[in-house]
Amino acid sequence: MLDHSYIGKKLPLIRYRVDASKIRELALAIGDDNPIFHDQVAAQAAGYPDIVAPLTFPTLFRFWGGSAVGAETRSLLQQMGADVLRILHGEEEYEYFRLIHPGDAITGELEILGIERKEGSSGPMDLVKTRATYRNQHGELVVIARATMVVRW
Amino acid sequence: MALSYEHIQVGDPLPSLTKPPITAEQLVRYSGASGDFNPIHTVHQAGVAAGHNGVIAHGMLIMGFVAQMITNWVRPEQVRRFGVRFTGISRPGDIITVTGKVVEKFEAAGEKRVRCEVEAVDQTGHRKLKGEFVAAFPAETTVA
Repeated sequence: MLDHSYIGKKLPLIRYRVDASKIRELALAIGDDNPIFHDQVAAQAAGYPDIVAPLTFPTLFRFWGGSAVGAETRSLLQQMGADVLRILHGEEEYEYFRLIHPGDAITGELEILGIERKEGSSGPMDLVKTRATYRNQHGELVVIARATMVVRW
Repeated sequence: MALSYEHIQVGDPLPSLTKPPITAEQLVRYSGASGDFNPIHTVHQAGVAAGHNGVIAHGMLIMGFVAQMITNWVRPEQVRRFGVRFTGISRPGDIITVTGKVVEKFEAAGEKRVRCEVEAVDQTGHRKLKGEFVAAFPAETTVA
């Protein structure tokens, strides 16, 4: 049973400073060789001030931007009582408002929106819905990430 | 090839993307890049303990493949929304193909937009995820 007291609770702020090498590292790991993710000169030739973060880059904010007490989703789920080996990613959705470039200082507010119990073929599972709202150093909305994590029991 | 909003038709397929086989090394690399160090992606015994017979790929890696297909077609700043539902597990050796098609053309917030469905399948046709995205086409904007 997950600790339901986390629903709606104010969680530690996510803080992440975007670095060109992390953008490139993610693109390399995916195997995405689009030069706008790798090369400043190519990005500028395409009309950008600097390289651009790929569409799934906001996933780094949760994992690298957590505080010591665990803003990151998985450690949060562990605090709530989940076994890390039995967590699966159910859904992920991004709503984009601004591009992300090196030097951006991102802050994010993560919320647990709700927990829904389901009976799966291999036993009960909890669907944990989260929403993270990310802004840049100018206070501008950058991206909203909505996720469903599946905790199997 | 430049393509304008006016030339996009509902039902048009998007240029598909077939990735090289996923490797265990790639999962190590993706763990470091993303910061998702869940051992089920990198440590064989952890994958076995989790009931997967070995390591499994990060769902977000597969979503990243889909993102690659999308930004091969439009520029990142054109994408308004992108969401997926993960429906299957991927393992090293899997060869993922991403496909998509235009399902709607509409106007919203003063922009011309298209909604596209996307999916990723492996070499046996087993589906890994299903999703959709919305891209905006301001006047005179062309796809890469």
